[in-house]
Amino acid sequence: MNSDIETRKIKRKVYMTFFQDGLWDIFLGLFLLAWGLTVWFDLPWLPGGIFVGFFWMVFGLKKMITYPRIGHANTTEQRSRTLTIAIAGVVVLVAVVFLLPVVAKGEVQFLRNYFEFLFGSMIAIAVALIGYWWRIYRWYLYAGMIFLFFVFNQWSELSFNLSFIMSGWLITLCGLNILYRFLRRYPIVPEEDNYESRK
Amino acid sequence: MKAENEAGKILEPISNIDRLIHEPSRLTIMAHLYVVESADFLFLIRQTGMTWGNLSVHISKLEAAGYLEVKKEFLGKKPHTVVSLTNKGRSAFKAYRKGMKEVLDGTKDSILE
Repeated sequence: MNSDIETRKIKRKVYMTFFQDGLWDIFLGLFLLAWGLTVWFDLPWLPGGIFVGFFWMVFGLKKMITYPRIGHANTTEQRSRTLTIAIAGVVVLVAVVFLLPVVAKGEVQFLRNYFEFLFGSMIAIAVALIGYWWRIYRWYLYAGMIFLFFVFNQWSELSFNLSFIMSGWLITLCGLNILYRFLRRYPIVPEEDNYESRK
Repeated sequence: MKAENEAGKILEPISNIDRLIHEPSRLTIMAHLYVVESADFLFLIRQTGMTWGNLSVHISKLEAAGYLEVKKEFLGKKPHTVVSLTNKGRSAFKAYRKGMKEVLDGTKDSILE
């Protein structure tokens, strides 16, 4: 018998409620789609633009969609982890910006030969790390899926951007499905049931 | 007589248990507020499964004891209530946890013996 009140479990339950809406999943999916479109249409600014724009948009959508349905709580843990992700995202973007010219010049033959595979692995590792930091374990599945798409891409005739587009599209669909279930499960509390507004 | 004394000794920590926190609904509220900095009314409703009225009554009792701080504000035209544990409430919850652990551990040992 566990004689202690397990605040750790309550903390985890509270923390996980903020990931029930699937908005971060949609963000990841759209970010990958943006990479695919970047390669396809040669729009180098797109991933950075999507990252910065959607990162703030997620917070706005949370205020519009999530908080009116499940309420809001301030946790130091959530804040510090979100900050970590923002910093990690910027580091990855900067690393990619520096990596791409090296690969383009072909100075390191190994990088040039296995570029798709290495690039995909890097993204998969980044997604798995975010899943670990945020403790959203479905992100491990996303990481595995991204990795498999890029492995397939390396040794097949498929275009490089298809790995991004396919994995991004699938993750966006998963996110939309999670969001749909969230909206059904947590309707907005009607005004007449709102005790506060009757006071 | 000796057995009665021993039982009394084992159950002594029970008398130190905070009855205000011990009520299940209030315990749930306190436990949820313990793991966050602050939370709004709706968040507590969703987490605890209580009704608005029920939650409000329990929060008023905990506020009267000085365990909670209740801040009322407006988000646009809608009222918004944010609740947080005071230092007194946090200490009281810690003491409650410790007390309950002592009680249950003592009971467990005596059952096993």
